Amino acid sequence: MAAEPGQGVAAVVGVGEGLGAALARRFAAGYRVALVARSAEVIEKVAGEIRANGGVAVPIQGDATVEAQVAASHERIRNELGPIDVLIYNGGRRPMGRLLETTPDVFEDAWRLHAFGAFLWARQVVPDMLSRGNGAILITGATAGVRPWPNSAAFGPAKFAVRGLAQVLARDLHPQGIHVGYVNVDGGIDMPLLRSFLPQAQDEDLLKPSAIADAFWFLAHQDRSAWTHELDVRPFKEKF
Amino acid sequence: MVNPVAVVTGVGPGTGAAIARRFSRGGYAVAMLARSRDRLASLEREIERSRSYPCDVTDEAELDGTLEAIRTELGTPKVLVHNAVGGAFGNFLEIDPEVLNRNFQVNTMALLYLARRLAPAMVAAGDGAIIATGNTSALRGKAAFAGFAPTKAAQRILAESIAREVGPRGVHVAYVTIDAVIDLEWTRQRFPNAPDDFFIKPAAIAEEVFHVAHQDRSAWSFNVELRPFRETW
Repeated sequence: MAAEPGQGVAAVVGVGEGLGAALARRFAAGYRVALVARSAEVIEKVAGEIRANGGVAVPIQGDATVEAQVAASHERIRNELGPIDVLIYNGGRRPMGRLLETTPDVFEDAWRLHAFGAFLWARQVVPDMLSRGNGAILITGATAGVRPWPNSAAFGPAKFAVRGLAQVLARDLHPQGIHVGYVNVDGGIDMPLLRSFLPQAQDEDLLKPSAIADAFWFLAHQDRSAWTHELDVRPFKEKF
Repeated sequence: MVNPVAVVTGVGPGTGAAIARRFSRGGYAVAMLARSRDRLASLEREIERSRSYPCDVTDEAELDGTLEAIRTELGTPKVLVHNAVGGAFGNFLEIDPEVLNRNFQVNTMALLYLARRLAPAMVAAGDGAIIATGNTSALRGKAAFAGFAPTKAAQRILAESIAREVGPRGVHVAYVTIDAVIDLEWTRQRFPNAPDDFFIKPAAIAEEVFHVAHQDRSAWSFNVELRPFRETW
């Protein structure tokens, strides 16, 4: 869709080729968008596409697990685009492995990326949102945060942690006008990496990134008399 | 172009009417079911492409006649919203046990009757949606809801079971949990000092039901919870 940046600012933290890119494209239809990731390649490419479409997009290289970098990224977004109206925390990567296959480093890194990073980013954006009395914080969840498989020894606990954080934030911030949503993506997302693992997958077995992004968009714009905190999305064929 | 058909049960002045209005605005012909003939008649005059079908959804024979009339007059339904609800206050010692049974008929059995009659055509078309509106009683039993909560819990589990059966065949089933007091004339009387912010707006519920009925099938929601921003939970 052609981008028509509005008055607001949306930041997508964790942008790869899959969902993060789709979220940035979707929100560019109504916001000036910051794309935050550790590596420059994808955010520069997607930001370039959005700008070519008439949108406003700024790639911000930064590590969401390091407090000083989060603060610096946030400061840049505030200076270049303005205060953030919608924060989308889309910390990606899913380490797979059972207990004895999972090293302590992998366990800690997963927790840092999925839970600690969301905590750090929320602490940055909430003061501006509180002073305005509105805003949205949307977090990407996964099946593993609800019902983990045995090979999610690191990923499952990390997703439980961020889901717990989301519930705390919702109960804290909803009455103050900030909408906190947790989108439980219950299935495989259609992107090149997953396709390479699952060469036999049909289109209909996977969630389209653009369809998930529509769910985020809808959450970000619900009437505040009827907010959804946790939303599950899955392909129609998915077992659940 | 032929308008798609939505069946909405429990069309009173609140959520049901708002859902009927939303689907009408979305291009649907809306079959409105409720027991009150008069109320339906006035909504029928107000809502474009709506038609009233006075009916007791717990009476299978009456329901058969009603659905046959809908198919003839409007077409084969693409969407069912089961919003009819039987409720009661009172703890397990206070209620007439028959109350639980009656609410079970409206909330759970009627969903079963309706889904059994409407889902096959949706499956054949590979397209359609069945949405039940519920509330937090579907998730927890409070003392004063002994005649009600068990029926809503059963309704949610029935919806989940139907979802797992027909979802892979292209029919979207969802359960909308409304964790709030709905803004209605009688709830305003019950909570006379509550501010506007305390209530969930019927139009906001209807917006969500319409949205869920039109999600891309690569990303369907089953559980959809709604509450006002101020609500504690």
